[in-house]
Amino acid sequence: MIEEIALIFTDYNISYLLAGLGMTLLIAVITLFGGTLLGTVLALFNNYGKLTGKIAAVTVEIFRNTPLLLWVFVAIAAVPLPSLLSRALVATVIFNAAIISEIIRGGLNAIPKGQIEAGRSQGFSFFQIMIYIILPQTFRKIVPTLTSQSITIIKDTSYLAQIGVAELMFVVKKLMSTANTFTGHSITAQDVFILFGTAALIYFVINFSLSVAVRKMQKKLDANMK
Amino acid sequence: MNSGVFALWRWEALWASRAEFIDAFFVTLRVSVFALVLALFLGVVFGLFSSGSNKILKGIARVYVEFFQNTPLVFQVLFMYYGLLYAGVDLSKEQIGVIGLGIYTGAYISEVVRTGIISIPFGQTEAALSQGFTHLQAMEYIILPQSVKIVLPPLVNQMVALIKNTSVLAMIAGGDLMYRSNAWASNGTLSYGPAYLTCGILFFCICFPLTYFAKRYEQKLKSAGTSKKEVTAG
Repeated sequence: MIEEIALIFTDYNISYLLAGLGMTLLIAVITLFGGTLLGTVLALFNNYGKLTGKIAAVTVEIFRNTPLLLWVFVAIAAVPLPSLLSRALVATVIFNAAIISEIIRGGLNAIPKGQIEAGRSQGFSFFQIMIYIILPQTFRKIVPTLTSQSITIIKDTSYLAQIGVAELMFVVKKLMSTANTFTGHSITAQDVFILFGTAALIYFVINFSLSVAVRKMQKKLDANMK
Repeated sequence: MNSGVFALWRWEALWASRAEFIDAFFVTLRVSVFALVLALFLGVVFGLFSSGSNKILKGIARVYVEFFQNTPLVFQVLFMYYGLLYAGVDLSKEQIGVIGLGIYTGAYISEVVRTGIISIPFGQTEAALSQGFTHLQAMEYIILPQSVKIVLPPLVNQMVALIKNTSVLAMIAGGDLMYRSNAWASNGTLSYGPAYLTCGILFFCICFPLTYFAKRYEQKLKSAGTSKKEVTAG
C-alpha cells in the first residue's frame, strides 16, 4: 500500500493534483461572487420590480427546476466565449445566481418595510436606500446560508470534469486512468482507492471546515437575535 | 438547409429518435423512484439514530451525514463506478445511480428527519414511555406523525434535488435523460437546441410541481402558525 502510494504520488503528480485543487477553488470563488452579484440584482427585481419582477421570478424557477449539468452543456454549445472554462463559468454563475437570489430574498423580506419609507422620507433614492440601508443588513443575515451554499458550489465544480475543465475531479480521474504508467502494473482497485481517497480527504477538509463555520455563525446570529 | 439552432428539420430529427428520449426519460424516472425509496429508508433510520439517546448510533449517524454531505455526489458516484469496475464487481449503471443517489440524498433526509423529531417537545416522548410505549412505538405512533407536517416541505425539496441530481449519471454514460440528450446532440446532426430544450422541459415538468407544492405548503404552515400564536396572545 505505502509503496503504491509512493509510486502514484510523484512530485509531478502532486503538483498536478494541487493545480486541480487550485482550479476547483478558482471556479468556486468566481461562481460565488459572480452568483451573489447577479443574484442580488435578480432578488431586487423579483422583490420590487413589476414586469422585471415577473421575468426575474420565471428565470429563478427555470434554473431551480433543471439540473446544473444541463446548463453547463448549453453554455458549452451556445456561449460565444473562447475557452471551455469561461463558457462553463457563465453557466455556474447564472445557475447559482438564481439560487442565491432566493437566499437574498429571504434576507430582504426579514427587514422591516418601514426602513424603506424612512429612507424615502429622508430624501434617499431607491438605489441609495438599497445600497446604504437595506442590503448591508440583508447580507449580515444571510452570511451563514451563503457559506453553506458555497459548500454546494465547491461540490458542484466537480460536474465540470465532464467537459474537460482540469479541476480536482478531472485531475483525479486522469491520474487514475494513467496510473499504470507510474506503478508499472495495470490499474487495480487499490489505485482507485488511493486516488479517490485523496480527493475525498481534500473535499472533506474544505467543506467540513466550512460547515463547522456555518454552524458557529448561525449560533452567533441566533444569539444576537434574542 | 436552414442551420438555425431550432430549425424545423432538427425537431424532425428529434421526433424520429423519440424512442431514445422516452427510454432515457424512464431511466431517469426509475432511478429517481428507487433512489428516493433508499434515501427515505436511510434518512429515517439515521434520523432516528441521531435524535435518539444511544451515543454510538448517534456517532455513526454523524459520520454518515458529515461524510456524504461534505463530498461531492459526482465524486461518490465516480468512486463507486471505478472502484467496483476494478474490483470486478458487476453492477449496472442504473444500480450504481440508485445506490449513489440514495446514499447521498439519505444523508440530507436524515438531517430533515432529525430536525423534525427534535422539534416535537421531548415531554411527549417521556409521556409515551411512562404509558408503557417502547421507544420505537413512541416514535411510530406519536412523534413521527407530528413531524411529517414540519418535515414535508424540506423533504419535497430534497426530492427535487434528487431528481435533478440524476444527471450525475451522464458522467458514467448512464443512459439517463441528460446523458441521452447530450449524446444524441453531439452525434451526427449537432441539434443541441431541440435536445437540450426537450431535456430541460422534461426536468422542469417533474420538478416544478414539487417545488410549487413545497412552497405553498410551507406558506400555509407559516400562516397557520402565526394565526395560532395570535389567538393565544389575544
